[in-house]
Amino acid sequence: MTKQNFIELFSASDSNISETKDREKSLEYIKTHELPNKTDENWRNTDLRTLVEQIYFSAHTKKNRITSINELKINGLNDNCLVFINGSFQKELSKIENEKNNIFLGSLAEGKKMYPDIFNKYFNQSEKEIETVFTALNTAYAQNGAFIYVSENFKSQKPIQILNISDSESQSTAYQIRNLIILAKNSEVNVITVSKSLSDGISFCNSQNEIFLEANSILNFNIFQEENIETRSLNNTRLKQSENTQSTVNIASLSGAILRNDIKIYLSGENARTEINGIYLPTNEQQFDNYILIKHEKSHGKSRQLFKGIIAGQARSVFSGRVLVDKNAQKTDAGQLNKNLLLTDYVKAYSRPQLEIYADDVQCSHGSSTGQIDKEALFYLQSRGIGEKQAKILMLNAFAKEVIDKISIPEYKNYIENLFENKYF
Amino acid sequence: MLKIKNLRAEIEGKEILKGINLEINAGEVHAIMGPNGSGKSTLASIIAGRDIYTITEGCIEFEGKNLLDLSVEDRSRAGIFLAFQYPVEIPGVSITNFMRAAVDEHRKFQGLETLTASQFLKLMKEKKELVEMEAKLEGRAVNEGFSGGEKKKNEVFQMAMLDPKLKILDETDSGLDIDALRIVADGVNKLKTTKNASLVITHYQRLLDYIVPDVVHVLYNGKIVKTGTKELAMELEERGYDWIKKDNYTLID
Ligand SMILES: Nc1ncnc2c1ncn2[C@@H]1O[C@H](COP(=O)(O)OP(=O)(O)OP(=O)(O)O)[C@@H](O)[C@H]1O
Ligand SMILES: [Mg+2]
Repeated sequence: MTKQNFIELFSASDSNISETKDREKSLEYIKTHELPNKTDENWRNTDLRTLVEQIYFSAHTKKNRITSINELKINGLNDNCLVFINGSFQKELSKIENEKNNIFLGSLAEGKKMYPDIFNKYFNQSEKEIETVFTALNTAYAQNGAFIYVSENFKSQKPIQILNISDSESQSTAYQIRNLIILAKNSEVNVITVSKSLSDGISFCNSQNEIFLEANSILNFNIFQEENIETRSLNNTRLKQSENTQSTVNIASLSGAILRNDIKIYLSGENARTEINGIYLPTNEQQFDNYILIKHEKSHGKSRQLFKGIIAGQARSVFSGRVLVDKNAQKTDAGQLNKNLLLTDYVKAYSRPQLEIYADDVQCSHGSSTGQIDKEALFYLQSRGIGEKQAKILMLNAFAKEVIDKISIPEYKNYIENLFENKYF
Repeated sequence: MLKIKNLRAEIEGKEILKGINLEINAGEVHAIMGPNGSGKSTLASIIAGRDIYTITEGCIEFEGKNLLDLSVEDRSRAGIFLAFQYPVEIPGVSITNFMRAAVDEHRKFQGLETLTASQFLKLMKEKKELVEMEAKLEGRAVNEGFSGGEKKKNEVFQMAMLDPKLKILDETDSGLDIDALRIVADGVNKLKTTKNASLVITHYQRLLDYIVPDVVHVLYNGKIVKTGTKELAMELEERGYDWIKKDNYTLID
């Protein structure tokens, strides 16, 4: 589809989020820019053809198609849950118990109505300059999404699950999601975004998360992607952190046709810290990409990145980790590690660490390794009677464990461990 | 139990084993000695099923079955165990998980019920005590960051866990201190029955003082060039390999 097709498609949704001036600015950008493609440094290794060449239809929400989301959500959590199907909010399927009015949980449309001041203060403030036609489309015609506001000094106990379901049985569907999460001063919250498919059809989800951490707040943010093999998903996430904040982002990409995460973390206050971890497991012809930018803007910041991929079949993956240290971000401590395990000779795993350092008193490290299953180790395990498959599973588990162990919500960690066991062979 | 007939093997076109004949019966302990690079570890790896070598001639029978037809794991399940000269580090795989998987597979193969968690832990504890393996190694990944001696002890521990019919020890003594050598050798001796057999590869007579061999072979340049009793090991300790090399001068291509 051309960008004009995308405009027509997304403008047909009952968009009621963006202000006119934001929309106009976005449309102006779209007019003068092309859809991302291979000539673009940041999109060189992401083959978007299957995403762009597909024809999509606007999502018609079938509200009563499902009555229970138990099969789709991560169960066993004592959580709050916001449910979206093709981008539209499903209040009756959601579970919202506002904890003593210290937290607002709901749809972005509701949030805008109920808290216009907060909405206006934060919405669309994370992106100084528009990045791509897709982010512009999202801002111009944002349909709905989750709105979470954690008030000052409140430490939320219950994890919040944002369940994003794609449903495209009869025709290929495209939709947008826009989530806004705000942690006021000294607050704390755990969020898991879960992307799942309800049917086997083709869908494209253009989603955007804007997350703001005010001073001394702590965020644990998890991205879980297990969609059908026809799902194309562009996920643009921006975190803006004030002083003394701590964020942890854990990404698990298990299934989808194209899953691309663009995560930008701005450490805009002193002593802001972030840790971002990812495990990606593409197989067949899947393409899973993580583009990470961490911008150290103030002193005493700390960032850690740990990304591991197991690439099977004829799959493709990209890890691009860019760390930018501004000249006044002294005493920055940044570390980055990417490891890829290639299971066949037909896969491609791109690994691009980029450090740009303009301060002189900093500590930065990065590493990257790509290899195959260690044949000698495999022989060793087999020589003790362990079958080849089982031996490989042991080794793959061991490889992924370091990342999975970073997940701090026990029920969620358990959930991923079980899925992982069953994914291979 | 084990019958090797005229075994020839090569790697990357280079012949390493040049017609090995060896027969080991239940209840016997055989030692193989020989200079560096003569092919001892190659022979051990081929018995265990390493597939980087090409067998060009000969056969190996284990309890009447053609061993070369079996996968690596099936050889282990059938009762072959190789204690490696250089045990591999397996990052992230804990010894407990590793042994659990191995013991489960062995029991399944033998048609036995799987052990309960507490039975398994009891077995682990018992066998660890046998080789006096330190408890701190338990939670660690297989061989990762182990000292040379700890790796060797870990091999014998695994051997005890799996209770094989044919135990192949490839230089298990090298890297062990004097006390550890005694402990490991005692462990191996305790596992000895009239139904199982051992093949001990070593450079040193010292080990053979503890694990007394019935037969000693000298492997040189891919062939067994001498076979004798434990006195042969003593003679080698005194005289080195030169006289053997000279005697076999004509064998060198
Ligand atoms: N993977 C391999 N690739 C190439 N050559 C090999 C390989 N494995 C063994 N060889 C060669 O085969 C010969 C025999 O090696 P092997 O390890 O069996 O000797 P060894 O008798 O065990 O010696 P040592 O006493 O030093 O342990 C050596 O010349 C060695 O270099
Ligand atoms: Mg050797």
